[in-house]
Amino acid sequence: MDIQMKRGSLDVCVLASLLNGDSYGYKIIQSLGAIIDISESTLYPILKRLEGSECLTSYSVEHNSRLRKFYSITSKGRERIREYLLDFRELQKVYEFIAGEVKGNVE
Amino acid sequence: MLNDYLARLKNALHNDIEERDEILNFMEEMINDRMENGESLEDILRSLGDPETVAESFTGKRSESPKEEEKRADQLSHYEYRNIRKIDIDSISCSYEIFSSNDDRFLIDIEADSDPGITVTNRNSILKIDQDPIEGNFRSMFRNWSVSRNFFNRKVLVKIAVPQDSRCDLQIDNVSGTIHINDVVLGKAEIECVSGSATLTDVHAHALDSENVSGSLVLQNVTVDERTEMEMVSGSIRTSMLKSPKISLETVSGSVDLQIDGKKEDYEIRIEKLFQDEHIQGNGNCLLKIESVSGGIRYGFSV
Repeated sequence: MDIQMKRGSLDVCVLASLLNGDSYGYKIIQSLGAIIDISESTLYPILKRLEGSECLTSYSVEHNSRLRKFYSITSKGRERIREYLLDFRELQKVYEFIAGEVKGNVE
Repeated sequence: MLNDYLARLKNALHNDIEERDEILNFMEEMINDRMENGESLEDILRSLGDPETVAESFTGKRSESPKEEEKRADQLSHYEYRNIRKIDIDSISCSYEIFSSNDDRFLIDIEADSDPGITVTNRNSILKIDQDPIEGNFRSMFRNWSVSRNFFNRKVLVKIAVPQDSRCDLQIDNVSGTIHINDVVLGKAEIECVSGSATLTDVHAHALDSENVSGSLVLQNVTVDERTEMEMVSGSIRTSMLKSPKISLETVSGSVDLQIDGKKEDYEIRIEKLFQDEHIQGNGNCLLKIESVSGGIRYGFSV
């Protein structure tokens, strides 16, 4: 898979995992586990990047006498998901066209 | 055991202190959360792998000997931003390629053969690229316990893709290294380089201001809405198809060759050279002003 595309998709996956409420690192990895095996060192730069581009914000909460960092999606983050879905729909048309042409030629 | 692991990780991370602590906190939280979820510490640490490898995956590089560092191909770092209104660059010895992209993001790629000590930040939509090679060298030094031998002839290339319609301002302060700006639409552009050369091709800017000591300035098919100001001590200035209502140029001993896209009659032309002043009153509102002490001056108009 194209690396840019993959990177963009992972970013949006992480954002999407925050749609049902704020979450923290371990929980994000868990919730993405079903579709992508993502490591801590992969998640970290994604969160940094998304925070840098103001798609999410973070805050710390005390939990069992240690700190846990929570991430919260912003309106910019929601907009990013929306854009991704629109882009993807466009790409899907291209895919269907290519797949259709390939099929037509094979038979 | 956890503390040992984190201490080794800390040693292996070569990010700046702030980021290093952030990564350590992040990993500690992850490990604690996994333990809370029933995994044993041994299993977790085994699955993470040794701290040096983990550090490598965070920094994209491994602690290594200077020999290996010299051998290693380009180090790459990549940044992406949106809605930048100004790019502000302050560096010592970088080369730049600035060009337009179809993307709506500003994409910055830095290629370097050793740590160039560059920090990239986005504050209030101002993208700052700062280079502190001494700091970069300290980082290499702590990493390898020796000063990188290619410190003074390091190659650093910064590529910046600018969204086509961004019209952002650009300010570059650079000492050596070349600057290439291609096919972009800018707001106010200020380029200061001491000994490097700058080439602008197919550029549209609201205003252009350049200051140079030696080195050369080349403008090819450049359109400037308001004014073009060029200052040069001993290097050369050459333009082909420069379109700008106000052009002023100051040099001490540099050679000047200007091809201006416009009607000669529209321009008031003032040339001030030692014992050789020239003044032609034009009909229009345009101004071409050249001051020089000893450099050769040539200029021409397309119409």
